[in-house]
Amino acid sequence: MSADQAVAEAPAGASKSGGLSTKAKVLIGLGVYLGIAILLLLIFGSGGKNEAFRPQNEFKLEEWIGIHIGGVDLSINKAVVYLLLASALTIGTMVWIARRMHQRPNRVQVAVEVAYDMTKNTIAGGSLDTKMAARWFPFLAALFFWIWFSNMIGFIPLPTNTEHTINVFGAEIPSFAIYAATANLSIPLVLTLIVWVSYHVEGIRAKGLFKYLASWLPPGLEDMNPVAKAFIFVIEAISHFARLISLSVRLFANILAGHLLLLFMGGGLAVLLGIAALGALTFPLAFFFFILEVGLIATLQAFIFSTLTAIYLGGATSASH
Amino acid sequence: MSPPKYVDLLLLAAALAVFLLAGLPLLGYGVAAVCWVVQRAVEAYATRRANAELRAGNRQKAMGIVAATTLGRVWLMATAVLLVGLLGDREAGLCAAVMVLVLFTVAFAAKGLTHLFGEPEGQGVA
Repeated sequence: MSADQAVAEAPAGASKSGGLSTKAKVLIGLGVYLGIAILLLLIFGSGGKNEAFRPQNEFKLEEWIGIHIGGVDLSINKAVVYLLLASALTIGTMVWIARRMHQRPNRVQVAVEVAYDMTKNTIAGGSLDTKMAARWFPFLAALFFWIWFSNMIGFIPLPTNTEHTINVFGAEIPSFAIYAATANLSIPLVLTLIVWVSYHVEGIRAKGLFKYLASWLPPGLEDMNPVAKAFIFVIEAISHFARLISLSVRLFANILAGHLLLLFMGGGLAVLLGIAALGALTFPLAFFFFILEVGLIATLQAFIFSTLTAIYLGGATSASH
Repeated sequence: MSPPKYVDLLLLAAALAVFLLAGLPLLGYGVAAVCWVVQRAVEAYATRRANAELRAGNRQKAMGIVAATTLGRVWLMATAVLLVGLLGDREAGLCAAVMVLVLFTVAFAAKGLTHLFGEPEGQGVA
């Protein structure tokens, strides 16, 4: 094989630039990355397992402003602040954009218009008839945008870690940390309860109580004996209750898992195991997960939650269910 | 409407006064500041290189430059903060980590706002 042939058959990724092929650059980069991690391991070794570090404390809700009314704890904590932030951002952005609509939109208007169109046509329009879509679109859009803002601010470090503070001029400033309200099960569960009650109320309103309950049975069972029908009805009833778990836990678990991955890859694992070198090794992975969470998971989970809400509403009111 | 382009660097300069007046560990500030400025310089260089590659039609190479330098910048800051905590004292490490997180939050938000409030591509005046 001649030299010309060898060049012609070189892989596309091995383009020459500055004397080094892309493959060589990647290998050198990986070598430096692993080399420094090994060097840190050799110099600092292992400090032994860290018993003081409690990763679960990152999600612990400390009372910031105590409000107790009639035995009910309504205190302001980290999760409540994130709820208020997400609500303020949702309302603020939508009102601000609505008042400043331009013929030549800027990027934020384009982004909001695309999201608005998606909630109207794909989420509401895709699962509901025209009348139902018009009635439930504001709820579905609010749900989508609120969950999206809530997820997104969950990936911006904010001064919310009151466990580790920094003393500045005598004031204990909380450390910057990430947290999401949707990473706390109670918030997705409340949203799910609203959805669950809403679609049953809509179903009963559209068909009447008994016809609605009868509609839980799949079509084609008209000739089945009543005992078997009752058995299937019980299964269907359980599936409706299971939605309380599936809808809430899907959102909660996805966001919590993302935050746990970021926590452990961002240094938590190194602190927990007392091996500093792990920090240098895992931090780039934290960056990958950060991009994945911000770029995909945050939006995807908001979309899934609101789409399933629309499907449940559509299923409860549709004639043939 | 958009925040200043170098709002993070302004904040970095302002933070020096806070560190000095509050008696916070200057080692933490120094390392965080040097790392931040270096990663900003790398970012500026990478953006220029990536734009040049895009103009030349090498989309894959442009993406490679952005991905590699972004990863490198993140890793540089994380390793530097880790070393401050290990070689210096834990307080300095914590201060450096918080400083970098504050700068990241401000830079991330400012970049997002600048991007969103700019005019979309292909909407130029005919």
